Amino acid sequence: MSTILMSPDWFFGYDVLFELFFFIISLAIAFYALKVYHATSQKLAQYFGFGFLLVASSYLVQSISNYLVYSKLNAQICIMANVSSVSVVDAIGTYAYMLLMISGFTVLLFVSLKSDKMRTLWILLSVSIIAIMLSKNPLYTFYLLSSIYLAFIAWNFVENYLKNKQAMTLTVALAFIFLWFGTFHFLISVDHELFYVIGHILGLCAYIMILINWYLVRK
Amino acid sequence: MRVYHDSNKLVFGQKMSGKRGRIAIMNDMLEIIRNKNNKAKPTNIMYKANLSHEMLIEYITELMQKKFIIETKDKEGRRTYSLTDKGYKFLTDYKQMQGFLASYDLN
Repeated sequence: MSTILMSPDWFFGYDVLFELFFFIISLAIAFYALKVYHATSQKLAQYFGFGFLLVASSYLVQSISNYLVYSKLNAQICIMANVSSVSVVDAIGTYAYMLLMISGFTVLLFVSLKSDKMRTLWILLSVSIIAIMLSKNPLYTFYLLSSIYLAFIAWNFVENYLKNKQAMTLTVALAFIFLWFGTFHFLISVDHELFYVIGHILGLCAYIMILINWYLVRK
Repeated sequence: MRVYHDSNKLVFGQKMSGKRGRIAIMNDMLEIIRNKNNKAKPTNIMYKANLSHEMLIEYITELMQKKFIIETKDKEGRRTYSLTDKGYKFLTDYKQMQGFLASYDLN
């Protein structure tokens, strides 16, 4: 069930590095958004910060989970946690990654919808989590839902760029287009290992765009 | 005549300017205080920042809660407001925060 099963052998270890990089950038964005909320009481900034905090947590869980598989520390974890098999640890890691990431994307989608009704968020969250937990192929369902949510989020940022044609808004729009494209590649990587690599590379492009935006904002 | 809450200026029931975000209003108020040699009266802030009396009270309360400004009273009990270090820092950080909020469409 681990995401590692989709990875070609030669990519082992590199995906952990990619995910750690994504974790650091997402965490920085989350903290800054929460700092902006603290200074301005802008509710959207708070939700945005929480969304990215969930996304950052999911990357951290995924990188740790993949690292455990590579280093074969899984077996030792099983002994320490008194768990019957390695696949249980893998499953916990994968489910934690999926649930944290889909929660993060759901919150970001809620922010982009500009709805003032919390009910919208709870409905989206409930439906997403239930769909993944009850699915016969949770990973496929997760990537499918993520692709749909990211498509709408990216659309919102493209509209924002078309309204305010600046380098800052362009970098964010491109970042989320890359993220959407990358997630879509993970969806088709379930049967094709190379797309797992392409998905990570597109994710890297997305987070580099976010870094460029960060530089433009701080300039 | 219609009364607009928030920052819209009232002139014979018509909106004079576009609606400012919360962060922009806070920035305007802090700049007014800074430009008044860091000692501004409530009425100065209200007129220059284009706020109603209710909005002025609301934002002054928030700025004091966030420790961006402090209130001082003279012997006659007249109030003035001054920036704190945090307030000065907010003015410096404002442009960055605006850029961040605009980039991610959080305004």
